[in-house]
Amino acid sequence: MAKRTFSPSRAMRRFGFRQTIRGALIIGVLSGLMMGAQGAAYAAAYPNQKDRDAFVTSLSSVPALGFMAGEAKNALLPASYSIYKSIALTTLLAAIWGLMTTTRLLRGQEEDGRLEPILAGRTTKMAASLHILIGYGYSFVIAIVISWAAIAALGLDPQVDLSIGHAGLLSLGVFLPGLFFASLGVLTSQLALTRGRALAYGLGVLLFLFTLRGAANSITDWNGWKHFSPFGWTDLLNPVLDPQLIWILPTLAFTIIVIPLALFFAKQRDLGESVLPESQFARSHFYLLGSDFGYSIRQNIWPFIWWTLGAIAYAGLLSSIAKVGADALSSSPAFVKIVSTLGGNHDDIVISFLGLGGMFTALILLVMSAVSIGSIRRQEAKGYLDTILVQPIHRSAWLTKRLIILAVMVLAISLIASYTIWQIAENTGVSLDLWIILQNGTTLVGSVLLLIGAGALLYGVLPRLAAIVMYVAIVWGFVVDVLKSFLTLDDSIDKTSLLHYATFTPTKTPDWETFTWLLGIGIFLAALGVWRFAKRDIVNE
Amino acid sequence: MTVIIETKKLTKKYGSKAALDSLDLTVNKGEVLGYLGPNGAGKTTTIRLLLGLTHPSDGSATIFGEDATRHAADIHKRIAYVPGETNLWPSLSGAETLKFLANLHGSIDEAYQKELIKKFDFDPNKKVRTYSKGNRQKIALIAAFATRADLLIFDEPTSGLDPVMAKIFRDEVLAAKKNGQTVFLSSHILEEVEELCDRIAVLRAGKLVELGTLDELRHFSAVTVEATFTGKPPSVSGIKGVSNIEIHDHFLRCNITGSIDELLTVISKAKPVSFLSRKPSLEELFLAIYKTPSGEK
Repeated sequence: MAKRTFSPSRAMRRFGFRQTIRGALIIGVLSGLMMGAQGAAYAAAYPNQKDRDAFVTSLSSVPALGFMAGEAKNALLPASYSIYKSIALTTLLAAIWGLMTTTRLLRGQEEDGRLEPILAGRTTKMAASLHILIGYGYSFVIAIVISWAAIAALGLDPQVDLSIGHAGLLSLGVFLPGLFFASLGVLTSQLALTRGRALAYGLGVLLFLFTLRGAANSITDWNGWKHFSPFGWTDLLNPVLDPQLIWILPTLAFTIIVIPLALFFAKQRDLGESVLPESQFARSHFYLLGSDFGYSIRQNIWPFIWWTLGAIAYAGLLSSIAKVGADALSSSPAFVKIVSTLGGNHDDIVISFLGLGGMFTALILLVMSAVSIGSIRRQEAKGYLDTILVQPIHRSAWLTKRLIILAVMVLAISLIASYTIWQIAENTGVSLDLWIILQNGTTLVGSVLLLIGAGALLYGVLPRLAAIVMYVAIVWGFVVDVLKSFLTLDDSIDKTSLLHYATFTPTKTPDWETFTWLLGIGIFLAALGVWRFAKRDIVNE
Repeated sequence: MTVIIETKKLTKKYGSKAALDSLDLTVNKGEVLGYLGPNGAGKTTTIRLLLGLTHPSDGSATIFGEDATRHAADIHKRIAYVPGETNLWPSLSGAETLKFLANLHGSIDEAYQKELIKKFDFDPNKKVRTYSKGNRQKIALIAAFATRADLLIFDEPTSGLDPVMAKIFRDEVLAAKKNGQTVFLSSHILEEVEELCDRIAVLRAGKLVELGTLDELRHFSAVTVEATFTGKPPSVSGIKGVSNIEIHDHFLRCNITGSIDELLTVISKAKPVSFLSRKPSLEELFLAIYKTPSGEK
């Protein structure tokens, strides 16, 4: 009988490709739209160069804005404006995607025992890792090309006037940090025993390097520090105004050194082991193991701390620059319009800046909600939920408790962030009523609770799609909110954005009526979701 | 006799395909029921329906007289379950996991749990992620037996266990039976089922094709006959019920269903020097069931 032979290398490349192509398509489209769609809106808001120059001068006088933005000089032209506006966010997303993907592909697969059958075939650990990574490389290139195509297509607008070559460089600049952290993920997957730990090591480095680049952008004396961060290398690449191709090299050099090193580690170590030694023994701690509710709280302690720190950081940053930023930028009517619209106040630009802090808090809480619903689904997919539900525990009670924990976390983080805004505002000479701020911090979570309710309903009906749909809703809300700061959007479109209902104005009387409606709808949707969850099958991976 | 599990026309469909088709089954108090079938026959589907993890497309399942889906949480107070692939939280230690599972169940015989930890030679001081499959299986078994639940449901519980530990498992099942507990055991290890089970149910393609004690199943199956002769073995091919005839020199082996009288007459006339007749093993029964075309017995 004729025996068909297959190339194991090809099979693994295809495996790596299939595992990553969906994420690549999403990140490609998302980054392409984020980097490409803003040029025309900017050209409409600032039609002549004089206004643009004045705007850049205003931005440059508040370097702290550069923490979450690109270099101010990019706001000189519609073609490069998106670099100022969104490069920090898109490079951050690409970096997180790269890190999450390689740690999932390598350590995640190994942890789940899926590498064993592969390694039982005609391959070695090193070759398997290499070919899986090559498969991911195909997806990575596709993501860059999609992003490039979107940026180039949107850049064809005569008002934007972005060349195809510059669009390509811009797309490359967005994905260079992604390549850096994908490579780092390959390394941490060898160093750490679990995917979670490999991800944590990588995220620690990512946060440090992102903060380093942000600090270098915000503090003039520290500007040189951006030479030591892959996020800074994208700034230095300066892909549209004055491309400096040499700044592609550090990322390439890092990749060329780190990946072979990681593959060498893969070859040297045993399957299921890690380069960094880890004790098999653990001291047992029995706190919060008395019930499924207690254990859910125990599982959420660290995520709560991390999300809280993130919210404090963003709210704190925007509050700390509110006064100085408002003074410097108040002469730019277009900028005042943007901040007033996003910050939810048209009377006082300082208050609008503080409102921006609230908007970012809402954004963080929305993302946290989607991540948490995704985590609930993962409990089910991995079979942990089976282990819980074969005990005397009601399904509906289990999900309700998880949702309550999430809602309490959301409220607590919002109140902590609101208090941070108040405290920093006080320290910078802006006097506010703490009680009003805390009430606004409470009403802010209305839209988040609505999203949680919708997420619970989706989880009850279409568990695999719940988190994805939630992310789409968040991105849609963000895009609408950004667009409305430039353009006059139809009110009905504005109302489809979750952020429309998440305004935070520190001096305004809290809108309890809207909050009650959002809360009521959220609870209703969540109740429907819990009811559906109790009626449907538990679906493992 | 008290019925512990009862299913009536229990059906589970995925799209148009029936993973379980009109299952009628009862399990009585104190009984050990072996649940057999090849991969994809519907064993795990049945167990997930009994545990209320999935909902029936048709029919019903009751445990302790209560609907298995609607009253799942109440029923689970009296159930312990061990799956073939135990999913435990990797960041917890073995001791933390046992404590957590005991707390979730709500009742535990702590002295017996300690005894089981010793018997299974289990070290609870490691993180779950560092345990082998066998050791993770031990956690689930210790947690389940220690509840002393009225009904123990096992889905291929010894996969990953070494023979010594598998023997301890069998001893504990027998002890549970002696204690009046009921056991529903799905397994691929036929010796295990043969040793432990009072009755055996065999599934094929979602349908129950055999149910009874081992002797009852044998009653419907072929008996193997082996004989050696001084000369050439006699021809038995024309005898009613004879099949699988093998002849090597002076040796004859064949299977026979139904009356053995005519075969005995033919063999005795040919002056056999040795004669052996034996009942089929469970493995032979199982293979025989699966060799027959679907739907036939």
